[in-house]
Amino acid sequence: MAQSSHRSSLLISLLSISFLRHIWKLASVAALGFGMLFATSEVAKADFLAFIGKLGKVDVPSTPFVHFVLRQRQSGAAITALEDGSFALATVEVTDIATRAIPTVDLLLSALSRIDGDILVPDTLVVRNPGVVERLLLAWPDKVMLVSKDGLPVKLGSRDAGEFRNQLVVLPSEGLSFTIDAWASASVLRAPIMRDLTARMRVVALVPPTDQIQRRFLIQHQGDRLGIVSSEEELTAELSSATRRLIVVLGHVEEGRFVLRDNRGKKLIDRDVDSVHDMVDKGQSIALLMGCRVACGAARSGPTSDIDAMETVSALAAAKAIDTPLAFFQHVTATVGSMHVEIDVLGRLSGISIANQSPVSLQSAVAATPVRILVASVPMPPPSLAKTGRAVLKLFAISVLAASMGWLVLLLFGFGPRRSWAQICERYVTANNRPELDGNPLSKSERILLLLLGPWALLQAWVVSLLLLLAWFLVPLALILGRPLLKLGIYDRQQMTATAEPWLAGRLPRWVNATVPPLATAIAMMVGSLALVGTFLPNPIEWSNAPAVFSVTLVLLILCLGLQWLVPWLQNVFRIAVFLLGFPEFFVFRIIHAISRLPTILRRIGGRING
Amino acid sequence: MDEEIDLNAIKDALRRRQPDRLAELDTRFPWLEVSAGPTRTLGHKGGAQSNATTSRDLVGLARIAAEEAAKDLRDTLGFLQKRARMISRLRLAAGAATVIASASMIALVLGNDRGTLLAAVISLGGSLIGLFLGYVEDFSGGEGSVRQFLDTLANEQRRLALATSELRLSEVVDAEKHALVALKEINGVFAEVQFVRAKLGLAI
Repeated sequence: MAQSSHRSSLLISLLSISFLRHIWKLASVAALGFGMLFATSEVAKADFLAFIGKLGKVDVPSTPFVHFVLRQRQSGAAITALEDGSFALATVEVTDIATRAIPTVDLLLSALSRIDGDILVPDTLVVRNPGVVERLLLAWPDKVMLVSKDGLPVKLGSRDAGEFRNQLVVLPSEGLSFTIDAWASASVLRAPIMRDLTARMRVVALVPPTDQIQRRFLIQHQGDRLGIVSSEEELTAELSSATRRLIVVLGHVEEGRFVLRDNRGKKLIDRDVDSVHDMVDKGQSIALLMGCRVACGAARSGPTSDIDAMETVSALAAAKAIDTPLAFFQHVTATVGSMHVEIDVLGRLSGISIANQSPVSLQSAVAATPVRILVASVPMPPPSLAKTGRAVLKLFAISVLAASMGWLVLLLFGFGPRRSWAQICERYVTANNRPELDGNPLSKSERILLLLLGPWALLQAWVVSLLLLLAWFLVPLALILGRPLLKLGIYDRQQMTATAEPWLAGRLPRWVNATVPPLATAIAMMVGSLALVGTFLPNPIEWSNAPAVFSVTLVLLILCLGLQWLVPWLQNVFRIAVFLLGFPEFFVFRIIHAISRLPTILRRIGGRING
Repeated sequence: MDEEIDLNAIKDALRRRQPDRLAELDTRFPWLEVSAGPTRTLGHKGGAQSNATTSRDLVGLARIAAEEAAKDLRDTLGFLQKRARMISRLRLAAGAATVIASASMIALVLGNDRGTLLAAVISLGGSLIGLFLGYVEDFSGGEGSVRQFLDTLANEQRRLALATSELRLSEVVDAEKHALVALKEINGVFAEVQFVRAKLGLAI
């Protein structure tokens, strides 16, 4: 009996102990509000979790993308903040992610100390509870990762930003750091906007006048994108003249100031880095200030280590083929030294990149040049089939109206009906190389057509002649002024990227499109002058084959007009052709002639089909 | 050593003048990094000079630099003086031709055909020489530049003399301070010489 009682007392005591243990666990769990301390060993942890699992998961709002990452990694923990000030801790368990609420930071930290793997935090936590993140970083400097909705987890870190401030930064690669808000503009970081920016980049280098070796190196690598300054006035002039570009300022930096000394030690330039930055800012440009440790101990973008001018210039020269800002900064960091980037640099990048400007603003910017009245430099996007159809109908309606009003208008110009008729017939005959009217009077169809369309054709011919005459003055002007206008940035074709003209991208190189309008007008001028010469020659040129050639050309033109909807650059072909056929007087009359011949042709085709 | 001084011009000059000795200089002054190619650190490298150098190193470097500076100045001055002499001779020739041409007006007045022809030829020669003179001057950096460079280099000689005296002082007392001053001055001398050489089209 004593044994059994002993055993039973032992049993009871054991039971009570385990019961007490359970009670204690429950109590502690209750006390901690479902938070807990994980056991340190895997076995203990599993046991603990199993027990807690019996209590059921707490239904706390989870962050889907964080859990997704956690599930993928199958280790580590994720923390999110809850509205009531507590935290949700998610860990990977045997089958699923378990999320539990933890009331205080200290408990959170002690819980985390028992978990292996990285600690994932969403960007919302970093923004709302930076203090917590800082404590996490303090305890585990290498394990905290930032997870954002559209990005892979990236390492978080902390750096000194001067004035007793600590900055939370994202460390996507070795030596490169971004502030949280800079990293959040992921769309800008991954946008293909750098090529245009580096093409228009300006490098302002502070070089003493005696340093010829550096000058030669810079000129060799940066050429015409360079501005070498050796005095305060030159620096001011250089900084205030550049607008809407990426400006890289390269100079010796001492304690937050750009300092340039001559070979005797005298200061030639002594400018605060922030004032340089503000000056560039005023010109709506982005400043990339490259000097030793510009971003050390300050909330600025720039290098955080000692850098070399020659290496920087070589790196910039090699960056020509880089597409995205992120790749650009990674390249610079890899070749020059560690860098830090803040939102000030990124914020304006997309704004000044031409690739992000709307086509409308681009076109209006380019079309501002006065000579572009006659010659469109940017082909408009090909209109839809419906739009083309509507335009054709509109033109038809207008021409019918004009035709009916033609005689009246001619009267207003002082041309009586008889005189106008004589003019019309004369031009018709000349344009079509038709035999003289004396022996061959006009057929009935010809007469009707000429009655309807004659005055309109005459007016149009006169107007077009007048325009061509103007062109003879304006086009040479355009061709002469073109280059200086380019330099003034008024007609800067280089500013337009292929993305701004999607209907041209991949189909035509830009220079082809640029040369077409002036070329077309030049040809038109040539042809027009020939026509003029031809009229005054004693023996006019025989245009015997002209009608046939003309008909073929007309058919081809109509095809171009129709097919431009499918193959947009046919617009240019059409434009050139119109100019080539720019005998304005003859063109419209030839159309009339072609129309008048249509019944005959159709009859002939019909005859051939019939037999 | 607290102050960071600029030694870039000295390094450039050593690379140019003593390419075979670079390996030896590297072993003797590893902190100088002379054979690493032209570099321009855009700030003060956190105490690279102060960490790795002794005053003896500085004095040694200053001695080598002073020697090279003296030789370099002599070479460049020699070249400049030859150029200046050529320009003066050309000027004399052009002047003489003009004078003879004006004297030959007499021959013209007297109606001497042969004399007129000779005068014309001489004045042509004079103009050609004048053209050539203009070309040489331009090539040397502009009108009057050779004279300017001679003045500059004369100043630099004075500066080098100052540096050498500092060097002598450093051997006696307060080695580091005086060696630093000497190095600073010698760097300045090399910088000016680099400028003059670049303008003259010599190798830098």
